Amino acid sequence: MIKLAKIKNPLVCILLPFMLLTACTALKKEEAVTLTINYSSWQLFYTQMGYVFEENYPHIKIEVLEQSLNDDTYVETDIVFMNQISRYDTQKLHPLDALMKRDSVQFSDFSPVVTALLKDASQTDGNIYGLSPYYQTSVIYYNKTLFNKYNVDLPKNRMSWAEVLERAGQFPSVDEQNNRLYGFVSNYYEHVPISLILRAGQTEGLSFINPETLGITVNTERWRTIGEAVITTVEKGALLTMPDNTLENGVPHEPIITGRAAMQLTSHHTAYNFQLYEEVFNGDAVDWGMVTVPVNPLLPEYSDYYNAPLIFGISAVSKHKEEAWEFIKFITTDSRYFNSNGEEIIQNGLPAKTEFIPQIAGHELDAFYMQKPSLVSLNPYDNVHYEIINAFKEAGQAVLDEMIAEDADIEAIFERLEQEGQKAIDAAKLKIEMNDG
Amino acid sequence: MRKMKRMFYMSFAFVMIMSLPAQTIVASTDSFSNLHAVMISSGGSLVTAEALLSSHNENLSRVELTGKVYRENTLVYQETITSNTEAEYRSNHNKSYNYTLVASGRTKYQDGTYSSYKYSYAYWSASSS
Repeated sequence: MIKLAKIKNPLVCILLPFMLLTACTALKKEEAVTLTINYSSWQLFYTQMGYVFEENYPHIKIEVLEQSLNDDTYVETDIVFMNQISRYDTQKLHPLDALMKRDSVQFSDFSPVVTALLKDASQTDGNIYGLSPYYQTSVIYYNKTLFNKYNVDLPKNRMSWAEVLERAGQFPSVDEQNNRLYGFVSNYYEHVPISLILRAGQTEGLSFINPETLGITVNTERWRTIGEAVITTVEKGALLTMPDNTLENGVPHEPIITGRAAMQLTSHHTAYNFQLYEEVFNGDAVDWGMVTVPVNPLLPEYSDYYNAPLIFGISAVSKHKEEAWEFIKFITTDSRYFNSNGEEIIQNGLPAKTEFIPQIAGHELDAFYMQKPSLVSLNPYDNVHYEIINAFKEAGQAVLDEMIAEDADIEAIFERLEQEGQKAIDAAKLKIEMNDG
Repeated sequence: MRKMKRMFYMSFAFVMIMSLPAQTIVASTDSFSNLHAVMISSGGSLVTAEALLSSHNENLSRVELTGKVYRENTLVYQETITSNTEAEYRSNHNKSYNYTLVASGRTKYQDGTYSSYKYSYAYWSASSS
C-alpha cells in the first residue's frame, strides 16, 4: 500500500488521487455487463448492430429476448425496442434528456424528420424517450433523358398526384424499339389502379372507410376526380398495372433503373442502386433525378411517407442505464457504427444524423428530408384489418377492369365501386368474425 | 376524355383526424429482413451457392428471392423463389471454375406494396478448391 506521507514530490501528491480515481473509474467501466433487449430476431439484431457494437464495447454483451413484432406484450429489458411510435409508453421508459446533455448529443443534430417523429411521440411531457438510428422515406425518381426526348416538363418537388399522372400520361406505352415503356411505376404489386386511387385520396386527406362502422364512401366528387386521373393514365397505357417480372440479365431491377420508366415512386435505397446497376451489372447509365412524393396541395410541406421503424429507449427500471445509453448513443450518433455498417444501414434506412447520409455524386438529396412528417395518419391499414381493406381493393379492381373495358362513365364506375366494395367489405368482415369463432 | 357531369356532389368522405401520430405502418424498405449469400464447398468436386432471405416484418405477406450464378461472365443458373417468411436458394456447381452469386430479395407487404430490392453477393475462386 502506498503511504502518501512518504511521497516527497508534491506534484505526485496532487495527481495521485486523480490517477487512482481515474483508474478505478476505468476499471468500473470495464466491468462486464450483459444488457437485454427485445428484438424480433437475434441474428437480425447482431447483423444490423450487435456485432459492431460489441467490437467497440467488448465489456458489454447484449442478450436478445426474441419477440415477434406483432406481439404487444411488454417484456422487461434494459434496452427497449419499439418499432412504432404508437408503442411508446413513457411510464416505462427513462428520459434521455439528461444523458444527451451530459454527452453533448444534440437533438438538433438529427434530421428534422426524425426529431419531428420522436417529439410527436413524447408530447406528453416534452422529454425524449427514444432515439432512432435511421428513418425511411420514398421519393419519385425520374429519367431526364425520357422527359427531354418526349418533351415533357420535368417533375418538380411537391407535385400533386394530378400533376404526376398528367406527366405520366404524356409518354407513349412503347418506345421506338417497341419495348414497353411506363410513364409511372408505383410501389404496388397488385390491384394497382384501385390502390393508387386510394393512396392519392389518402394524400389529399380523404378516407374511404369509417373504421368504426366499416361503411365506405367513395362516390363523391373528390374521389371521382382522383379516379378520373388514374383511369385516364391506365387507359393511355402509361401506368405499370401488373407485376413486372422482367428480369434484366437474370436479376430483377426497378424499371426506373433499367430506363423503362419515366417516373417511379420507390424508396430512398433505389438512389444507391443506380450506381450498382452500372458497376456490378454492367447496365446502361440512366440520367436520373428525384423529387418529393406527391403532396396534398393544401399542405404541400407535409409528407405521410416518413417512418422511423427502429426506436430505442431505456427501461425506467434498468440497472444498467449507462451501458444501455452507450448502446443507443453508439447506433444513433457514432461515426464508427455508420462507417463500419454503412451498406447494411442504407439498405434499411437513411441515417438519422444527416451528416452520415452517403452522398451521391451529381445529385442533390433534399427530396429525402425536405418535407415535414404528417401529424395525422389516414392510412386505412392503421385501424382496419388488412384483409378487409384488401377485399375492397380486389372487388374494386374487378369493377374498374370491367367498366374501363366497357368505357363506362366515371359516375357509373364509382356508383358501382361503392356498391360492390361495400359488399366485399361486409363479406370479409363476416369471414374474419367466423374464423375468430 | 371521360365526361364529368357538372353536378354538385356533397362529399360524404369521412376525413379521419386521429390523435395518433402519423406512422405509416408499412415501409418502403424492409428493416426487418435479412439477405445473405454464400458459396461454400464441403469437399468433393462441387461448390454450393446458397442465399437466404428472411423477414420478421409484422406486415409481411411474402418474400421473394432471386439467385443468379455466373461462371466467369456467363450466367449458368438462376431461380426465383417466393415464400411466406423465409426463402432459400441453393445450387451446386463444379468447383474448378470461378463463380459469382448475386442474390436479390424484396418483401411484399400485406397492403399490396413491395419493398425496394436488397442485394447480396458471394464469390468462389477456383484457386480455393
